Amino acid sequence: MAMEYDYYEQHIHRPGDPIAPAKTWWIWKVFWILLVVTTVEVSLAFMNFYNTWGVDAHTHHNITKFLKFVYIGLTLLKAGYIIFSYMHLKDEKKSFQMTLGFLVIVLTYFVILMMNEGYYQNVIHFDFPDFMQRNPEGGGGH
Amino acid sequence: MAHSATEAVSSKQAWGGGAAPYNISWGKMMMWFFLVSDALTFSALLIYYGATRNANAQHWPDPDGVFNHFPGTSQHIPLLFVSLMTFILIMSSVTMVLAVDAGHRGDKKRVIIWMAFTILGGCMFLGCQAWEWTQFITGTHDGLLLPDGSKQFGASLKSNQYGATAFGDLFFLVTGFHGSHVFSGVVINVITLIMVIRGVFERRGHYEWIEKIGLYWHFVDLVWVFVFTFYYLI
Repeated sequence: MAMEYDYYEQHIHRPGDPIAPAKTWWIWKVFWILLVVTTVEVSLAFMNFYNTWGVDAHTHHNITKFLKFVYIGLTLLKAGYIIFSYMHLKDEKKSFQMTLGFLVIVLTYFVILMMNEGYYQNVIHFDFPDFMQRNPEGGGGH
Repeated sequence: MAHSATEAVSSKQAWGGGAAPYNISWGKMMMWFFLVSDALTFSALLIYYGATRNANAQHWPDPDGVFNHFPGTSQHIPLLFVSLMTFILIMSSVTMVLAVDAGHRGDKKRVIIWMAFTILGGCMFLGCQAWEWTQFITGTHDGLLLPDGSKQFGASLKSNQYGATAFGDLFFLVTGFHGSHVFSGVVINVITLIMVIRGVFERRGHYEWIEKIGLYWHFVDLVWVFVFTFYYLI
């Protein structure tokens, strides 16, 4: 099988050519998935905002923390559907997918690094002299 | 893809030049690589947002308590308006992918219809964002009572009534940068729609250009999915 690729050879349409019938069920399937996942996210945030669970402050704090991971998980799920289905990445070659996927490794490292830095800045920033603080009058400092 | 490993591939077909080893046209591949670089920019903004929020955790307002307005009502409903914006952008992504599908089949009439809907969705989203910014800049009715007795209303780049200064700064930076992407996307979509109507792609014989701008438009939707989670939900 030849590996040569010619988009124009494969997809050329001339005026008057018959138009193939649309097959759009997969587009709407992904749409409903995206909509349902977003609705679940918003409902969870809404219920948590009004503390529908009826729990004490400490438990509510823990639930809020846990929900952050739920949101991130559902967001990555939505991102996967958009990238692989709507942007047609699942139709590209594996080697191309991996070329783009390298980004994920870099970013994961960057996220962990920067969250940690932010946390330590929060803990130790009162050791800095005043002129290095974000907001010496009290906006961003202790 | 498992069977392709056993195929004999000559070096010219693979990486010898003059071939397309990824089986993807150069224009589409370059659009992907542009999106990768744009993803790095947006990631830098969002990751800096996370780090700053961690560093100012005590002063960070709960976004659900800040963005709780909805047009036509004085009731405070957290998240409803931003959910509507998300819905609009997802919807315009659907119409874009329908336009790409129609272009794939050479169906000029449907490309025009779905491109028009995509532009409409983009404009609606920009309008919503303008309203959201206005609310944020104007602030609440009561404002914030400062120690010297004066009151502060809304947000600017220097300070805001809700908490940490960086909260407002990053809101304007991240949503503004995303909004400028939506705006340029709408402009490109309008130009494309005019080109489709004038039959440029019909004469060219293919609608690959729609696929390329489709990639860009889905990317803008993708970024919003992350902005929505990190700025509004968490």
